[in-house]
Amino acid sequence: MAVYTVTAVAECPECFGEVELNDVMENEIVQCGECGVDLEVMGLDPVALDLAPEEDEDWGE
Amino acid sequence: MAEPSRDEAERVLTRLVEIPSFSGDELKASSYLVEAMGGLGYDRYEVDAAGNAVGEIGETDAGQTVVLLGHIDTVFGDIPVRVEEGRDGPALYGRGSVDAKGPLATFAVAAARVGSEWAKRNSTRLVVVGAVEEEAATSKGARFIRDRFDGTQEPTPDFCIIGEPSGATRITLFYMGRILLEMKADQPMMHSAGPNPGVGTNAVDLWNWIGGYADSFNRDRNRMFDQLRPSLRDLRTWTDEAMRDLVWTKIGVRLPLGFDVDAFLGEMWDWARERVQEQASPPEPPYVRGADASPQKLHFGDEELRLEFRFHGYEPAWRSGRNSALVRGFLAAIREQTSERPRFVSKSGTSDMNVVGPAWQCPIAAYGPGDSSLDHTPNEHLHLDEYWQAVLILESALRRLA
Repeated sequence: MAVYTVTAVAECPECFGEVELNDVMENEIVQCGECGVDLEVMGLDPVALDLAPEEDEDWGE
Repeated sequence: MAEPSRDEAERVLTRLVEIPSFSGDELKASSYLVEAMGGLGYDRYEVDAAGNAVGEIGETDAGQTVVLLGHIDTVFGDIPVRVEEGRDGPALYGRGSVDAKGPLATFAVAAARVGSEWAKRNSTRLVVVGAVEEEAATSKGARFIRDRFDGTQEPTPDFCIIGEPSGATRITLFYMGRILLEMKADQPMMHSAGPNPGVGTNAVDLWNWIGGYADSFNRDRNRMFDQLRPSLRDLRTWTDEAMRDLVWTKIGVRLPLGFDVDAFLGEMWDWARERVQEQASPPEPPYVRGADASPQKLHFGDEELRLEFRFHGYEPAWRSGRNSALVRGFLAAIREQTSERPRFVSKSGTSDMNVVGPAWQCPIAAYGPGDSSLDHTPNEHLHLDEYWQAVLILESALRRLA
């Protein structure tokens, strides 16, 4: 399985603080060290972050 | 072999829904699914010793094993199988269309679309299971598969996907746990005008004791999924031919992650001993961890008041991690196939994730099309556009595991 990782600094889309990324993969969930929000790595070249998927609460099965 | 088309995918789903398969009576549906897997190009397919429909794609000694564990049984209810056109397109009505033949058919077709050639080229073994008795507290089919892939007989899976309706653009990562408790109390028959308040109060007091335990446990736990959640499922009183008054109650308790069920039951046994004023050394506490689904009983008291407890169906809560190749693959696949943002889901019920998650300790997620608020309802139906979307998403997510 070929896995590509990146080490970089990116901007948090929530608080615009700097997020340090160490060996992250595409679609990995990381946390902003400044505001604490969960983020998803959307791309590696260039590095892009977006808010991570939200968590719904359901009943079932 | 050509990839199964949407028409073929809908035929498999519709036929599967048409065949009734209430828990414990799944053979006809399992046989059909196995036959369909053969037609879809699976390398191996059989109804196993537990009655599960099992199909495999790829070599048995492949470098990685992915188990797609759906369930083929349904709860009771005869919903006429039909397709109705609605605002959201055609919808298939029928028992099990959502819970969980829709997700199971999604597994069967998506794995076939990935195909044997791809699986062999990428040293991947796909095992699709339609497990029996998921809707019963026994989870017989999932336990059989769990024990088969125990790392000795067969390799422990590298990834597992549970077939349940998360909705095509969501992934379920958490299920609460559960334990079922039954208590029967009996005492000599007596006049209702006497000083004894009646045998039924034993059940009421037990319910109140559990409620008090839950209130205490839940203090400062605001999220539903962090709480202990009891429900009173049944309560009956009667008098038998031996002239004893009896009460029987069944209580289900939904369990949060990491809940110490043995400590909870230990305190309940203390409550029971105190109630019957039992001075003798207590019975050996039947710790439930590792006890699996086997019902266990515990007796207290004497001729004046006898209490009998039975507990079964214990499953611990299970939460899967968000940072696995499996979850990353799903997130990318959902974005690739739809314009929607993917979402995670936590569920207050249980599924076969609770059975295999603790044993396999591998990346695991539940996935499948359908609205789980329709589970077990007379209005159960699955939108066919969403079904096909889920097939394409799952196919893409599986390919990303290579």
